[in-house]
Amino acid sequence: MWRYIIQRLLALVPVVLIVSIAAFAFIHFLPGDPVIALIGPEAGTATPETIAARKRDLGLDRPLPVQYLDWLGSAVRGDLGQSAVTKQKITEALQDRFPVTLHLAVASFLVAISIALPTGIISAYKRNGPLDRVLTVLALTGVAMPSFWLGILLILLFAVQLQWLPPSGFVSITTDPIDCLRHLILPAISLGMVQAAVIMRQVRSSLLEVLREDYVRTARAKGLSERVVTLKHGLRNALLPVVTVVGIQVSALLGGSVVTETVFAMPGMGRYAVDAIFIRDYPVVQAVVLVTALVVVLANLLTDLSYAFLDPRIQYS
Amino acid sequence: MTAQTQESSFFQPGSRFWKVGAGSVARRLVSDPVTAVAIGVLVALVAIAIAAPVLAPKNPSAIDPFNTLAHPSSAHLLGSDENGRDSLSRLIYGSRVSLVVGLISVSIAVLVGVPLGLAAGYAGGHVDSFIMRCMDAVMAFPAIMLALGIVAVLGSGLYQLMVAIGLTSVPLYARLVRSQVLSLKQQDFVMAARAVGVPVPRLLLRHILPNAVAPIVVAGSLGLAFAILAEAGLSFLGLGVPPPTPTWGGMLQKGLPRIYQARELSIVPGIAIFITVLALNIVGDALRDALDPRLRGRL
Repeated sequence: MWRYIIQRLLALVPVVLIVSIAAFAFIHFLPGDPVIALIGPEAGTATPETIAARKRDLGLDRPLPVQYLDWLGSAVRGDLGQSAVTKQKITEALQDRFPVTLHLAVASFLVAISIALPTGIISAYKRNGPLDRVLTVLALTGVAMPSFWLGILLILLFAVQLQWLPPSGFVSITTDPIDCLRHLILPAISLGMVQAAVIMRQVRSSLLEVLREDYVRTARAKGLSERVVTLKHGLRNALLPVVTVVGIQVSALLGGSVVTETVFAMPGMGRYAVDAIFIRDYPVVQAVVLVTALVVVLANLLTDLSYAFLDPRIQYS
Repeated sequence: MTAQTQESSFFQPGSRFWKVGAGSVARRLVSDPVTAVAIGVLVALVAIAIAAPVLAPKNPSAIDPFNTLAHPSSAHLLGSDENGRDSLSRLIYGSRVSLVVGLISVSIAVLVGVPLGLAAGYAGGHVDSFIMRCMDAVMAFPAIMLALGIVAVLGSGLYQLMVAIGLTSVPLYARLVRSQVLSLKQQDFVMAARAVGVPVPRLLLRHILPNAVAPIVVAGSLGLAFAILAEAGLSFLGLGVPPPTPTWGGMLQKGLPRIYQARELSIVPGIAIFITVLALNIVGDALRDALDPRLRGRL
């Protein structure tokens, strides 16, 4: 088991390195001199001598590999540079922004799982019946629904029409759990619904596949009820492909949060990156893209490792 | 050897396999009423996009300061936006951007991803490892986040948007084609072609690629739905095609702050996106089942 974990960690090294090179190269791919991207608006009024001096200060006159290693070293120590516009340390800004995105991601994930698991199981249990058909159509609808549009529709209904919930904003769970929930319900549903549809389709199809296995037939032959067969014998074995899909959804969840945070005016990491693009604050874009990619890589690793707990038959060697 | 060469030519483009196969796939697709309706929706959408100048009742960019945020009426069937522009006309013209961005970005993804997949699968070893680790790294970035980064580099605009969305989908096609190549290169007809000295580019393009077309077509049709959603998302964020070009995502972005005054601005463009993506998903699923049911769950 430990050997497998170490192997997986080693396999991550090249991917993380390529991700970091891509993030580092981002500033250098931008049109014009990277120093202009890094010092922001002051470049517009600066004299060539000032720019040259800033270039020396930032170490941009050194060879690229040296700059990369220096940047990587700082990033590993948690220093992601400073905003070109506000001059605030990006790590500090992310400490405020990341929890907002985390709130949204966790709440959406809970919405997705609590809808997907029961509906997927019911759909497989009542396969080809009217309920299954209705749920399949709903899942297809959910996949095609742009999450930001669903968010707008939810605002229209619950904030504008019924005035039950606030249309935008964010309150941390540590400040006021009830108000946090009131602010999170709509964004979490709008982002979680699409994930729910994808996961539900996976639960249904993998459960149906497992229910055709011999050991399930044996369980039925023993006289066990269909409910016990589906839940006790089928579900546990059907969860493996579901976990894979859930792992993949972490990436979709973080990507979707960019748009959802905009719809609901939540001051999260995605909104931070979008705002940064508008004001050409490229170091911020670079940092957010890097942090998001690392979270996805970590989520994929955890997905792989969770297989061991779900399916002891898998040999890790 | 002769029989195997014949088998290979059987799969060549324009051979009997393709003529018979295409007809049977088309018949299977339209035999299902839901799929037939979805195909009808897509055909209608393409027709609307092409005939937009004829169908649109007004110039989509014509500003009317006396008729801003008008509710639906005989003058403006779907109302007007904050600048008094006719929403129906903008919706009709918006279909052009969605379809063009969708088609071109999928083409970019296929044109970059397929050669990478062919090279990785056929060459194996270090080439394979290098290409696939790069693809893993690209996949580590959530699609919208990667597109944001690319738009930041290239600037916002129609072409930049197509490149950004296209590049985010490259790994999908590279992985798909690689897995096909890995299994195809062990097949007898490929071994036979190699044994008689068919050059590698010809082997890849004439013998292996035609047999990997089915999954690429399926992934492409589902990829089109993703591209249209991504375009709408980026336009909604204000990072898509700059105004005054009408886009469905851009219309939603402008409608959101005016949700209390003109609700239809936030509803109608979303319905257009939803119906288009739903139709593409239905056709994509049906194509997958008709062409290769084994792909179920993988695409």
